[in-house]
Amino acid sequence: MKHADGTTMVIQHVRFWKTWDWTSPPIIWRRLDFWENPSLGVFLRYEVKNTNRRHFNGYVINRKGRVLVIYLRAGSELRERLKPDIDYYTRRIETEAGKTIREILADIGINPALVAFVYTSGKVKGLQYIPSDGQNITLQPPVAGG
Amino acid sequence: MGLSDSEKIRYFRQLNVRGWNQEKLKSAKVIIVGVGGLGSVSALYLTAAGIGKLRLCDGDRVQQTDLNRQILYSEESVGRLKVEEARKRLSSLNPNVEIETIPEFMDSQTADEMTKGCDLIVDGLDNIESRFILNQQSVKMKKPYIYGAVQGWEGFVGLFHPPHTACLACFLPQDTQRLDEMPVPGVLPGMIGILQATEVLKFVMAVEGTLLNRLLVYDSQNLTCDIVETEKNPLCPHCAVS
Repeated sequence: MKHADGTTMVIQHVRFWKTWDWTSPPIIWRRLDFWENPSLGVFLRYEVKNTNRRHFNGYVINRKGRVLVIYLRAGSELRERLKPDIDYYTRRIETEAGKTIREILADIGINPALVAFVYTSGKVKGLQYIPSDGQNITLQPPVAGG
Repeated sequence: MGLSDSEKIRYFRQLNVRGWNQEKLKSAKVIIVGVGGLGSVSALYLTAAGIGKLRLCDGDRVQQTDLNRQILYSEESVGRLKVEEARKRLSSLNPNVEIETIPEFMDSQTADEMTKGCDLIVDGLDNIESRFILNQQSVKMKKPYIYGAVQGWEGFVGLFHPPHTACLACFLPQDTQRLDEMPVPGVLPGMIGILQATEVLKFVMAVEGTLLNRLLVYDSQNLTCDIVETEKNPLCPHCAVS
């Protein structure tokens, strides 16, 4: 799916070893491998776990190689490290589809250990979350005082 | 557990609030771990509201640097045990509330004894490590945990009730690195402490609209407030193995 600004949505191809329970989203556990197809781009295979089950029961294949745009937001001291360019809190990031937040943070020079979690569309996500095109993602530091 | 005539007069202004149940409140036993910026505010409002029993745990003594936000204490309190100063102040505010004090810091050895018999755990701590001990205790006891934290201009409030909901460790990794020590404006723990006390009251009286399984992120600089859902993590080191 092509957007007006020329970026392309991530297309997720999902294959499972067992029947997937879609009442809970898959959680990316680790990257397994990747391969290239000259016409279709790079495919990344991630091991995933079902949130309803304790043990590994599938994998997700993500197509990579396309550029997507996300908007990262941060307040307090993280804001200074993020270097916002859209408004006081927000920075536009162009990144490769299929990358996790942890990887994107490392790419833009923010130590992922300084980010405790992120939230997007009203839900808290871990740093292993893979964003899709056009998403607004808020970074949260480990707030600890009392 | 009925209300005496003097209690009916004292709580007159709140008794008719929709969903209010003063008797339920009177029979509740709440533990506040840490009576600093967050804990002193939540203790003050829970006492004023007429919670039945309040257990305060903190091994710390009042320092001059605490006085910008820890409103239970005064100049005369400096050098004294926080829990004892808090007990004096809270008892004078509302003698109907039974106040227990434990002048010790919570650790994994003492957590069982400290939280024994409590219906609800309120977080008044100032570091992540102790919060994880408290969270683990909430998971172990299956008791609701009212999380609160502040830093800079931002504050968090959450209500977790494992195993029914996610716990703190479901979304907060234990290996995060703290940013440099940041100053806290005195009003922020006040705001967050009041929100924690509000969540205690709503949960105890079964009033709808609690923050159960949700996290409130308050930015006092920009005056924005986001409420986001948390999800149980099947790999959570605290609640997934229990």
